[in-house]
Amino acid sequence: MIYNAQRVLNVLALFSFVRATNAVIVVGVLRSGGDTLFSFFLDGVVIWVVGVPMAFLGAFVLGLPVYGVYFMIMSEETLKFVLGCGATSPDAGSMIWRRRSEWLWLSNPARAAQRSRGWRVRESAPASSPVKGSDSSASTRLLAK
Amino acid sequence: MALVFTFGIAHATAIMVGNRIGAGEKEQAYQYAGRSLGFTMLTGMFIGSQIWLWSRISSGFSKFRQR
Repeated sequence: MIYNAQRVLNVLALFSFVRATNAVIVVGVLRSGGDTLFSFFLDGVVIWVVGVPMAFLGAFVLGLPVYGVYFMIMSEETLKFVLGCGATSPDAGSMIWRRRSEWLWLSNPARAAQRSRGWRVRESAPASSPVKGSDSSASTRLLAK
Repeated sequence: MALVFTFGIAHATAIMVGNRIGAGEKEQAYQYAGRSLGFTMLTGMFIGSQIWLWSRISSGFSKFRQR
């Protein structure tokens, strides 16, 4: 019993930084950046497609002990970590998907929702034009006026 | 429960990145996201090392064998 608890704590300690980074990627970056579809994919699809079959495989087919099953659940977290890092950074995405991924999460979710409902959208200057350094920031625009 | 601190970092990151995107400064939002990811990785490694260390200490450094 205590042997199993010790092993489970070891697995948790090994994968704690992966889980921490997943929390920041999904909750912090992708949701606030407006990439809700990929956030849904990471949180909903990967768990049911990868996590549950891996836990089933480890528990009932391979017959692993409890820390082995926990390790297989953590493999799903690792997949989320790799995909989430690729979605967050275009450079990391080019390493994973062999192409420079778009900055999908850097969008304004309120404007995107308005646009998808066909409302007339008031485009602000820095949102429509490509960002070039800090000269298009809001403070300098106010100063220019 | 040990990862509650990183969930706090995650919500703080959501607020900061959302603020910068709403202001239209995407470069700075990207910078904030990268910094917060690095900080969270370091914090997670620290928390993991502490979990490992205190599980050993609380069990009195004894080797448990499987019966």
